[in-house]
Amino acid sequence: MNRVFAIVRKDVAQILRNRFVAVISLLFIVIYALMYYLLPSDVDEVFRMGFYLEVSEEAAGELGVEVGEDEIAERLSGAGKGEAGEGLELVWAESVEGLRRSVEEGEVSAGLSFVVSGAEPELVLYVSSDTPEEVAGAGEAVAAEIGYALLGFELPADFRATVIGTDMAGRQIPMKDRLRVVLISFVLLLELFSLGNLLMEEVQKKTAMALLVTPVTLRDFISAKAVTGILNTFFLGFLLALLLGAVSAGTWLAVVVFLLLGAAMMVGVAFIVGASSRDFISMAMISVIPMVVLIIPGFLVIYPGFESPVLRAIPTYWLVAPLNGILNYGMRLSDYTTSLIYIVLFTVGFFALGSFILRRRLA
Amino acid sequence: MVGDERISAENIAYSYGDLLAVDHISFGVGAGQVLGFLGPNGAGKTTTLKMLIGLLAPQGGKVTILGRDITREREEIQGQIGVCFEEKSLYEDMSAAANLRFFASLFGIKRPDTAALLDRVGLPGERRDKVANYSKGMKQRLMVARALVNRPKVLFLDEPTDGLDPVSSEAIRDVIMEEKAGGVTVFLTTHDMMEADKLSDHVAFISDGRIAAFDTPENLKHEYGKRVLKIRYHEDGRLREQELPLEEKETGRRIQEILEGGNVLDMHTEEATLEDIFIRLTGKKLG
Repeated sequence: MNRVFAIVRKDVAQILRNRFVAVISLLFIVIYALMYYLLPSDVDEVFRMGFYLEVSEEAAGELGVEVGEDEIAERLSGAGKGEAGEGLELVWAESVEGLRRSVEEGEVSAGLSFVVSGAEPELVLYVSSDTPEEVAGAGEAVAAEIGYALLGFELPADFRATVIGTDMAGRQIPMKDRLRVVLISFVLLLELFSLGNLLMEEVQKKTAMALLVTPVTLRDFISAKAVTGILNTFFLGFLLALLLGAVSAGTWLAVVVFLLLGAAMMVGVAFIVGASSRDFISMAMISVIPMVVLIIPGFLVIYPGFESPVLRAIPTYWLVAPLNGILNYGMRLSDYTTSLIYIVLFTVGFFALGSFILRRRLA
Repeated sequence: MVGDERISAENIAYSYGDLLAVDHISFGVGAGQVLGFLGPNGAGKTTTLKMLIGLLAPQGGKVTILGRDITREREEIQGQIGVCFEEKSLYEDMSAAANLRFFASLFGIKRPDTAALLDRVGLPGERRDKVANYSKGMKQRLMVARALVNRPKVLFLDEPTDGLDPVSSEAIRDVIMEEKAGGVTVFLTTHDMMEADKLSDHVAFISDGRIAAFDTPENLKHEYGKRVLKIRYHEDGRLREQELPLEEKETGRRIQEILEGGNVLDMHTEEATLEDIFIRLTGKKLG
């Protein structure tokens, strides 16, 4: 154990002595914190919805709908003021095509076409492919509400107003708070590069071999690197979390647990990168691959509509999604037991593979 | 073989895939002895060294250091050996003293006398400078100092003077002789036959993973060498040179004739070098 601590002490001193790495690490934290505080903290609560209405007089008579323009406007206005005091702004379209265009160009969050020409009204909600899930859900809810307001009864159409995931209508998360989770995960990923470099240098400059002809065993060496990496990564991640106001009485335990496990996972990946690299250039190139892949789940937080079952195969999904839930949606550590198990499994797998490659390199 | 062996290799072998790098070799080195392990690049020197210091487990045979099996008691043995690699495996952003203190801590030594160690290898004023600023020779001296930090009973030195200036090489040779005098066993791999001749009690010639010869330098020279007298003289206005074998009967008479001519420039005996013998035994050059 003393040998492990001796190596950890030396590594920490080396990291602190490396001004480039130290300055870059702290610089990123300061930049991230500035980005967070410079972003607006309010959200646009007004839901802009495109609307196209086409009701034949005959069909209106059969359905018992008043189709006078003033009447419709009054009813739509009533629907717009909707429940829980949310704002709804209706934007009229001249045609279905015009409505689609407004949606595609982002002028409106969603578009609703309401065409009644026969016994069964046709009600279509248009959302663009990158519309966040919560906005689409809100659109469906508003569409149902408008249909009800117009008809005076539930829609006989085959329209399904199904809200998938958390219905965020009326309680959207400001972008800066979403970004908080992404920035913390960025810092963890950057440390992959830092520890990978430390390991690569030990192997490349043969200092690892010099250690292994003393009473230091390969297990001591790997343990020491793991401790150094986890301490360093956790420290920087926690420092950023503190600066971004992510650590509170209600979240600190969950933040600490997930940052520690996230740091361990990154160290496992750094082992693979560091042991596979022959020099700084190859290390930089090899580390890009896991960095790009592992950063993807962060987009889930910025663009919730991005969610896909494939994302769950990416290890950082199990880190980002819980942190998002805990920091932005008031979830608790106990809600994410499965995530904890997945992170541990991925971490063990990365360590095993990294140690295997390292052992082969040193042999 | 040498009695009371501190290093013992019995029929050890190691392959990298299909390439048999070390082919069932055996040798031993006693206390206070220096073994010069000589061979060209790729002969199997480094693989043998790695098996002796516990970095590679022999695929055949057995290595015993200080009477203990290296594969079974590696950690205990590594606490009593010192290793100096050919490559400069130092922490370059640390000072010489910090490097020594760190390695000493791995052996459980809390306050190593770094000043004395650096003095011994001729780096007295450099202990606080970063190793990155050192010359190649200074780094090599520090590597030797590091190998001595735990006062080892067996010292493994891999090409310790390769490419160094004469002053650094001499400093390192002095340390080797001091350690030998103190009873330390030294395993020395080198290309430098002069160095091996000067420092070694025994030399082993390794070629293609096999030991081609193992003996004292004197015995090898006696057995395989050819002792000659080399004379340069003027005759008929031209410079002539002649090599006369010392053991032949005619040599005495021929020397007398040349001397009577009165035009001798110089004459000296010339023994076969270890390099000559190596080439004769293996058909290969060392460099």
